[in-house]
Amino acid sequence: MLFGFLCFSNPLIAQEIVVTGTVTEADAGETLPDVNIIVKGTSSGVNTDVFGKYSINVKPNVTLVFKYVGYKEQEIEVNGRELINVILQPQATLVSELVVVGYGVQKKSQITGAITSIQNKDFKDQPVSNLAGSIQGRVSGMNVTVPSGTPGAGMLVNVRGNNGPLYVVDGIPLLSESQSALSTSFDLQGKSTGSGQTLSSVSDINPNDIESVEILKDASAAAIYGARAANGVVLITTKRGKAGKTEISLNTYTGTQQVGRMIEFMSSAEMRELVEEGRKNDLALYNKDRRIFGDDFDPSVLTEPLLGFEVAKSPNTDWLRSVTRAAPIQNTEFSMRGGNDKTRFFTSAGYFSQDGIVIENFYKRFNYRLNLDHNVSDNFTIGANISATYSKNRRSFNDDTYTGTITNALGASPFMPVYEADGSYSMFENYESSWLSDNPVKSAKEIRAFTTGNRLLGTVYGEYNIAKNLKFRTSFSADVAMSFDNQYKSALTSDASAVGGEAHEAVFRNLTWLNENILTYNTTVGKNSWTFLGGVTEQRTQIERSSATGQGFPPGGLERISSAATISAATSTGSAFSLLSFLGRVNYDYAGRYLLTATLRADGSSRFPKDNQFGYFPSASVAWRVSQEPFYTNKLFTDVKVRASYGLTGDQEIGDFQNKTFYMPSKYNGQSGIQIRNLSDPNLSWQVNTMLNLGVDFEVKGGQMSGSVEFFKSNKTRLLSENIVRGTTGFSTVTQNDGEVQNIGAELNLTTTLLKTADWKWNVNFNTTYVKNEIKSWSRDNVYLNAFNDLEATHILRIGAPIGSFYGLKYLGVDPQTGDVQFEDFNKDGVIDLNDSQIIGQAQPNWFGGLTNSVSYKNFDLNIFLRYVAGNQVYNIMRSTTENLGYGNDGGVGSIYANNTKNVLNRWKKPGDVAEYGRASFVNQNYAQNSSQYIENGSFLRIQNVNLGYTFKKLKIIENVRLYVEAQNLYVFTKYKGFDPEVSSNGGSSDRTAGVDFGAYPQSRTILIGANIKF
Amino acid sequence: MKILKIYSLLIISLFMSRCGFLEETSPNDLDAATAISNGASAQAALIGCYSSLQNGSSYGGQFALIAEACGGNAQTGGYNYISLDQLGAREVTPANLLVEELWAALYRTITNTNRLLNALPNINDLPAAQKKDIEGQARAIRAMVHFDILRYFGEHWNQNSALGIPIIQATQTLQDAPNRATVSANYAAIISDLSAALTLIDPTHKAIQFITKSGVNSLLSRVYLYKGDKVKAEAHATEVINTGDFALVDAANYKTIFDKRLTSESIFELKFDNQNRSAFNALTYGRDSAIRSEISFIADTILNAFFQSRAGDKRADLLDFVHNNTTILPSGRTQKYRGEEARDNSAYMMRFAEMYLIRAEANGRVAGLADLNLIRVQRGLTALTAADVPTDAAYQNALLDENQAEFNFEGHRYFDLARTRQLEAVTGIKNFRSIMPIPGREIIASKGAIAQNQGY
Repeated sequence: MLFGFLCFSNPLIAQEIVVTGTVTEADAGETLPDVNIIVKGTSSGVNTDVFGKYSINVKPNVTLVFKYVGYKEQEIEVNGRELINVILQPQATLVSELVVVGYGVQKKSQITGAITSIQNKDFKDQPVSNLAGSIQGRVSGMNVTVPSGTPGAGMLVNVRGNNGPLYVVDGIPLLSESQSALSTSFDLQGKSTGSGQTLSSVSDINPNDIESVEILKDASAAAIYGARAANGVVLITTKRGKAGKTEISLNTYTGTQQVGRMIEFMSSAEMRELVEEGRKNDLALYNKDRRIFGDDFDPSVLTEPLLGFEVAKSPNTDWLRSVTRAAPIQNTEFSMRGGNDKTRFFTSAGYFSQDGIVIENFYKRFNYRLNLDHNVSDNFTIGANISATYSKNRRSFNDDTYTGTITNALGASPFMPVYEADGSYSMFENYESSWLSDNPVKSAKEIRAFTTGNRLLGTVYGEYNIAKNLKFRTSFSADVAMSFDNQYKSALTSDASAVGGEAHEAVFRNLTWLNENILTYNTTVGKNSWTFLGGVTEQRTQIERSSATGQGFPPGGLERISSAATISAATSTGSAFSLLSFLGRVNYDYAGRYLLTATLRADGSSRFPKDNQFGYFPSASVAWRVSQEPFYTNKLFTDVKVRASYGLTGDQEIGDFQNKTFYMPSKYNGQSGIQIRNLSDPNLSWQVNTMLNLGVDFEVKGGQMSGSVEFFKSNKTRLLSENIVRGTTGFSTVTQNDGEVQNIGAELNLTTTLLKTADWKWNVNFNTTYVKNEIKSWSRDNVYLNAFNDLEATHILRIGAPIGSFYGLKYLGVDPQTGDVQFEDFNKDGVIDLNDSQIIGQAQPNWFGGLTNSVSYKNFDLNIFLRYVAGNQVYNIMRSTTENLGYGNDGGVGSIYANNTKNVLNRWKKPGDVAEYGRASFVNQNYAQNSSQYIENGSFLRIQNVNLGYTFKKLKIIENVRLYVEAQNLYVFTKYKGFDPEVSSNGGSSDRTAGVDFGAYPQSRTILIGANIKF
Repeated sequence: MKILKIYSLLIISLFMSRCGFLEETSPNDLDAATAISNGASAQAALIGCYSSLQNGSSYGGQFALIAEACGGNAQTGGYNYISLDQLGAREVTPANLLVEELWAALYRTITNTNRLLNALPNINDLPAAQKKDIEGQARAIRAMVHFDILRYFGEHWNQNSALGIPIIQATQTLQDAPNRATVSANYAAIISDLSAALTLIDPTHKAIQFITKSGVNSLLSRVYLYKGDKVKAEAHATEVINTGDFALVDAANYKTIFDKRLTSESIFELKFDNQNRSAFNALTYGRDSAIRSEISFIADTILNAFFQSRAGDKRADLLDFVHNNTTILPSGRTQKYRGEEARDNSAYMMRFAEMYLIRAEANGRVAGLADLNLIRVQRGLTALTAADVPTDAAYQNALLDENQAEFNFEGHRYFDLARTRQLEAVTGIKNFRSIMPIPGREIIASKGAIAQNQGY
């Protein structure tokens, strides 16, 4: 028997064969280096080389096991074959997916906090300049809003009800502020009314260079970033080199953009009819009761012939279409990725160009990146990341404010031509459209506002394995940002006609450097495994700004400050802040079943008074992988993990130099002096957020469906806010810690494969979030806020109500008998005035989410992405001008304050009419600006993105080519009367005054074609 | 493990050596605790007090123009902006943003003076006379601003009223909770500061961009007139008149007060320049073809009618109802603040003509008429006879008219009508609107401790 066996086996030993092959992954067909191949039942094996090739000497009847992190293990019987090519299927399961966490990487199965991770394939190729725009709607708990359609504009990112997360790009925290030294919005006195559109600091990062984005949502995940993590953290990891064949890819798309939704305005005839009807209505009222019109009212404005309103001669100008256009958008980028087992690299270069849908605007960006890693020895790795960006932006002057191009075009008179017969710009003063501050086409062309920016982000690091399981990493990073603003208002513009042209120029320079030192130690004792992490980081940001304003310019295109007759203003200033932090983390894992994470970060910030500089932010979390228990037998839910976390994070976003009371420079009579600048609260310190998170991760039938459910409760306490104080202190507001705001919510994430055959594949991903926001306490109740500094209170901070509550009169509709608009007499004093104001809506949505359907059939693939927001309102205050029912702003005969939208055609005309809009009026104002007349439902369902592609494989030197057509913002289901319900005219960066539409830049619909080519 | 220890020690010691790391210095700020520490910085802080008067929300523009709208000389134009519309409609509410800004800007100046006055006793490197001069100017500014807050927000005509304003004479912390003082306490504090300033200010200083001794006398004269102390009002006015430092220009040159500036008619004038602009031009003129909606404060037709009834009055030349864009009416504009390029229009804090008009009022119908006529004749009008002003009421009206003609768009008439309790009788605006409401924010910030004015 024994001999027999030996006899039988001996020849086989002699017949050992050489099996070779290539291992690739299923998604993109890329080769996989370092795949571990062992003979089943033994420990002997080999690894694939950098080209994914392997070669192994085995007996012909053994079974080979292919193992690679992140992919399903595959067993293949050799059966005497000598060539075995293997395709590994990615393992989209909890077990081995890797997730980037603060200062490290963890297996998804070991995560105890609330982290959403999304990969490049989920957001690549979208026609947006900004990463936030491309992950919009794809992450539960994260609501990304585009407040304006301006090319290159900043986005509003809200994580679980908190605005403005910290962005960390390859470990470098980005600057949070707008990269420009000038405001673009001025009132008629030339005073700045705000920054208008903001430029986003993440728009300098090319979305296609990004490998993955992780959103750290709860305290357990975010607290390692302590001080700045109060509003969540977005970790951006760029692509790195891989050993193996050099991958070369070229991605390009080109397309066209149009105004997504247009607002239709009245024709000249309709407008004249509205004004005439208004005068007739007013005259009838005047004859009935003169007292309504006041003692000195002259009724002749109601009867004299309407001059300058000749419909037959009118050009019937459609102003919105005069200032908008179909605009091209295109993007081309080239990248290479490769290396060997010692050195790996990723490099890319790209060019993005987007013309604005408003005439004259554009945004262009060139970017370059190089990421390098090199193994000096087995224990020592060094590397560097460099990214450089150049951008140029022609900005829409006064974008998003009431003197901007769009705002002016809304309501401009149809009786006014764009150009006179002699080719000159028509002057609005001659056409009775007093809403205007200039001819909109003229201000778009004759105000030339450019911002150019240079950005350099760089890191060098070294990683040394001091001992087994003990690793030290140190890195030095710099973020250098420079921008130059150049705005010229020609002498033709009403802003600068009195001074013969005016120019503003400004230079902004920022240098942030960061040094991080992290020590990591792993140990395993039996079934217990521990990871300890400790570190020290220091960071300093220094900003320099200077600007000059000049007036009086010669003709012929000399538009720089040197050509100015007079320098009317010049400034030079700077600011700085520094942070010193100590951090630590412990991860404990018992048998992959019981998991515990504890973190502590101590942050010191120069922004606070000396005694309050340090803040301490601890967190702890636990998780239990129920499905790993021996007693667990459920066959439906094949993997279940239950998580709980609690911890503190902080916020220091108050601007520099509020830590003391300061004097600032000041001048009088040609002499320099000093005067008080601020009043500082000596108790000023860190804002502290506490967050509780409960979550369950699950997987159904080994990955057919997977998902997670989260519940969270976060309390922002000691809010850093501009608190109103007694004016007798010399200041109306002081930066203080005050108030508490609570966000309670839940999130659901589901991914499922509905269909999977040889030809068909259908994946669905759904996420939805509910957030409820409430002000729990504030030392002052009922604080009024204004979205624009010359509007009446549009918002209120009231205990018990959400942040961003709208304030105004409650509209009760049109009286069918009189056509009067009616409002609630809230204080029951018999008079309707602003004292009857009440909360009439909220800017923050309660519900939002997204649904992605990915279908592929053979070489075709189709991706449809829907996004929705519900439960919020929009204060469309623009309509108090463009739907003012013919009101002439008591300017006398021949005054059209503003053209009205076609909606107003549906107005009250005679007693008994049940109409949406009230009686037309010319003198006797029949609307109230701050009222719920203009509050609209902000909910929408948007077909955000549809992408249809076809892939050709193996065309000569080309590995594969994917051609696609795509539509962005294809359609919005909404009844909103403005351009788009997703709007915040003042940029919305403050959640307290968000959600007001005052003529924001319209959103575009983009149709494009593109190609992804891989060599 | 030993290596670990060495590394940890290295890192800890590296960071322990960086204790000063979290100290940043702003290139544009000085720590308030040490900002005023010697003579030069005290002088700089005094300049800062003047500079803070220049704020467009207060004396740099809106202080005068809000009063003009509320007193009937001005109408408001501009876009449909509720706070501005309220001024034109004379229906100001506590939520009015312009009034709120005015309140805050005025108290800002008081804060600057208090901090300077607080630091001054510890400054030892100044000659005594110069130190006294700085103190005198700071106290005079503090008194003037308190008085102007009283005129805007307190019942300044009623010595028995409890509704004065908070008097702030010490550096405020966030815990301080000053309340409204009585009107008589207000006057006492204001007069005390001005009386002290009178002896402190160097009498040889004559630059009218700053508060001189005559500036203080003229302020005292005005304050006593409001308080009802005619004897003292007359005395201080006479003192200014008798200095010989000031002179009325002739009728043809009346407009030089506004286009040449710093003329012999000014006692205290806030000077602006091209790089340090006032808001007057932007608020009242803008540009030649500007329509009403571009201008915040336009002239009321009432003012036009008033000047049409005064043939020969050269001051009418500074009101234009003819040359403006008439697309949107009314089209009247004051010409006092022209100069669209430089926009360096002065704020006229104290003018010499007021001294004669105060004295004319203080001396009464018989003795005062000569001073009233002096102004009338100087401006191209004929002298009034006793028969023209047969009663005290008629005389009072003649004075009000003269003030309106002389000081329209300089922020006088509203306060004149309020102190004589004639707002409703003359303009039809309800008398409770003789003062502004206390800003709603102040009431919220004080949790209701600051009481609202009657009627609001």
